[in-house]
Amino acid sequence: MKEKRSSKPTPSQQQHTQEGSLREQWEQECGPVLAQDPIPTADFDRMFRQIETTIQQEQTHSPWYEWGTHKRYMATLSVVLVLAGLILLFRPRADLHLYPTYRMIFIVCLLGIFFAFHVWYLLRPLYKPAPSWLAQHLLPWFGLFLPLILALWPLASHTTHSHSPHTSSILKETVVCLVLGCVSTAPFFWFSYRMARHQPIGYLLLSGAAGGLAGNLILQLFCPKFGTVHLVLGHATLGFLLWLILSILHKRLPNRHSHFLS
Amino acid sequence: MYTDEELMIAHRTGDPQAFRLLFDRYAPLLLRLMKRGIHRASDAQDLVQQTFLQLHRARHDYRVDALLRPWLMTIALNLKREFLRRSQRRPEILTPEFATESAVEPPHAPYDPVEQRQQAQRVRAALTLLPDNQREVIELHWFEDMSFPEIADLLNASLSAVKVRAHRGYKLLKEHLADTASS
Repeated sequence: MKEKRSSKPTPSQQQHTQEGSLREQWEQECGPVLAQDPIPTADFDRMFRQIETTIQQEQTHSPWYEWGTHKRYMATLSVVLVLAGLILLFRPRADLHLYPTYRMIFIVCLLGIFFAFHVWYLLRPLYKPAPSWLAQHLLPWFGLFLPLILALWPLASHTTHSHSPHTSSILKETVVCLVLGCVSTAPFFWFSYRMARHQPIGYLLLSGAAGGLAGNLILQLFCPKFGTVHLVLGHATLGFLLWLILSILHKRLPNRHSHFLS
Repeated sequence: MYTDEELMIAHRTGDPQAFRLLFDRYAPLLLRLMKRGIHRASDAQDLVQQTFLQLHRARHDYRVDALLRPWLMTIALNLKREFLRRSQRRPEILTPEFATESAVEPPHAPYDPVEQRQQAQRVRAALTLLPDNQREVIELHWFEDMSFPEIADLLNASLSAVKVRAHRGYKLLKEHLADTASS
């Protein structure tokens, strides 16, 4: 009985045997040569010296991206959250007491949560497995269009609202909000740039969407205009505008990727 | 003989020798990984250097109880994948000349070396025709000698998904090889 039990392979042994047999089968079919894929030669000393030089150069400008990931993440998030808190405390929108509370909480939370997701993807360390294709492609586009969806959400209880949506020209209001959105998100871009260890694929789109969400969060707390046209033109287009600005500025900024040989 | 993890902890605390030892231990293996599918030697070397630079930048994230090899492999794979996507191309096949020039022959080269090289060439060519997710699993399992659970961790996929990819990839690989042989 004891002998029988000891001869029975454990699940991990079974798995190992299965993997081994699969590997053996492949090697029989495709040749043992691939199992002995040769180790390439290169000037490893020169390669290491170049890495050392790059590291030494990086140390001269106190690299924030070397901080732990949680610290980088919290620091970048807090830039926007502190600014939003200050606005809420000292210069909240004039109609805050009339604005439906549930709607305000819902919009602020939604923008805040998706902004946090975007920042996480922006600062995601490379030792973590890559996010799924769907997440990589859907998240930034959703982030860009979320403010538009919110702008088109009708505000039913504004019949008693004291602030008219058409007190000045639409163009002027739009420009003011877009400029305000760009200025208020500048610290976020500066922080996220300094905190990023590398620029992932879709970096500009992701950054633009994150900036758009942050800017909309701040505008939601600050701007009392509630007309759909103003919200669409002055708030929802902010992410697209920031994406455009970043695309123009991108080539002028030093890249975090150090190309050693090219 | 220090473990990888001991060296990483030493590097984190500022020991300059530890990083060099890690580089000596892993750079050749990572270069081999990068060269599979990337034709230009300078690009492959650049990616190995990027991998170590990213490892250095992330040293304060390193936890004492974590294994270093999966960390390093994930960084390398992510960088390689991004490189291929940025250059919008499929992995390339090594030409026999390139493979011969840049590689050390294995110590025990069995059978006919010419035939062996040609066969390896055919299999590598067939590998490049596989979908990315299947090729990655096969390369890691086959070349890097990693177990399926390790690969699942590395690719952020379930164990069953990794096995399915491996079996599908293997089936496709056999079909491609059969096509090559018949043509």
